[in-house]
Amino acid sequence: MREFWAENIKIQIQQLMPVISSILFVLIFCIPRYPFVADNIRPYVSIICVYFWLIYRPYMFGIISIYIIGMLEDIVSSTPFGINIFTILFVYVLTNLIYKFVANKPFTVTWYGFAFIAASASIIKWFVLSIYYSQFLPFIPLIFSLLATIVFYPIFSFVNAYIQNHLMEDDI
Amino acid sequence: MRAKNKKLLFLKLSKIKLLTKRFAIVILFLSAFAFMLISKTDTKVIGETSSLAMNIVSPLIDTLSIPAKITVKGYDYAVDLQKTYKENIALKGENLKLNDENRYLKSLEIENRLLSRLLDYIPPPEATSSTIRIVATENDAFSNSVIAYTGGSDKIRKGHIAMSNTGVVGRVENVGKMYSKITLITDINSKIPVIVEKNRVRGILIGDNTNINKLMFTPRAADISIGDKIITSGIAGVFPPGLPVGVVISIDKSGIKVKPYADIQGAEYIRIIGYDIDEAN
Repeated sequence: MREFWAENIKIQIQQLMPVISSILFVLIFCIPRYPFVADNIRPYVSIICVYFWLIYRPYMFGIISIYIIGMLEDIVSSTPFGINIFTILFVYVLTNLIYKFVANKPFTVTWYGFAFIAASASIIKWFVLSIYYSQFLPFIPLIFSLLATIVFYPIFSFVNAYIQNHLMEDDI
Repeated sequence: MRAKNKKLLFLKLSKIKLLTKRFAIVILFLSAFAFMLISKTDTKVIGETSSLAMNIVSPLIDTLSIPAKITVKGYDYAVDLQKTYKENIALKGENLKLNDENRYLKSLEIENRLLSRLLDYIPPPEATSSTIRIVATENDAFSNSVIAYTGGSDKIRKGHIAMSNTGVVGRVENVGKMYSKITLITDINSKIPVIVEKNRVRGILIGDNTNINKLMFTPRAADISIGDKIITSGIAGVFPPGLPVGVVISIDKSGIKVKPYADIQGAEYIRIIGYDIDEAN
């Protein structure tokens, strides 16, 4: 009986691993003082995680999980509440649209797909926020953050792939 | 009959479930827009909910940052040890200079007090100060804010100014039970009444999510030049006057640009300056 429960809990944790790891990454990137990224140039970790898990384990990364990650970003940032939820849902829709072109393809193709998704999400967020504030937000920090996001994608993919291969079983 | 109803009810429930599933993405998109609209029109509801959620999320970030802090502190300690000897010599010299300045300032203070008494001058209230620890930062192209641990202090209120050891950092935006959110002066929502130190020309310092601020609403003929120091004006009674904010770095057709003195990157602690003019009166 005890073994059954232990196995059950293990499966539950493994199923929640993509969400847990994504939330942890978002929170870790809020920790002040990490020297490898400049002041206001910060990769959009949530977009990286959502894209990765939607490509590699789509059935384990539901829309509610995505909503929670967006909400978490809204809580810690000073942007209008709802904008990060909107952006991350946009990533979800767009990833599902291009899924067949990027899934089960070489890494570079997936990376190009990610660059497209990240650029589209950043621009739509910039556009919605510009409407919200009734003025155009500066574009240059956005471009640098976008470049940082694209550059960081392989590193995060490596960590997420490690989680997928070592902390999750194949049949889950 | 009862069985038929149940079946009917079952069908209805399943239909609702099916519809919710089919339109989930639309419903969630609409909710995101609803949140944005609410935060545009009524900041109180969103502010209170957000501060409640912030109090749940912030301890998590605080815990996660422990290993990072230990690593950074160890590295800093090793670097500091190397610098200590040189710094000690420089500090001894600086200390002598500061002692002289302190003596001069004390005499000025006495003189000022005597003159104020002579003129029957009513001084502004004294500002209170508390130091708090930064737990999380969110600096990107869209927002510039930090979350700090306030430990339930009732001294910290919305609107209070936050300072680093070099200058004004931002303003308290959201006060939670144990944590508070501070909007940095570089954030697009930040607007601070300031003056140019040399000639007391008034203006508003506005953030735009870059590292440089804009000085706006200054008189057209105002004598402002590169290198001028910008300090808080104390107008509206929200901030104490005379706090260092930044320095003018360029003046062109697009406006006057100010580089803030404070650098939040790497800062662990900030000071919150309370200045409740209404309460003092």
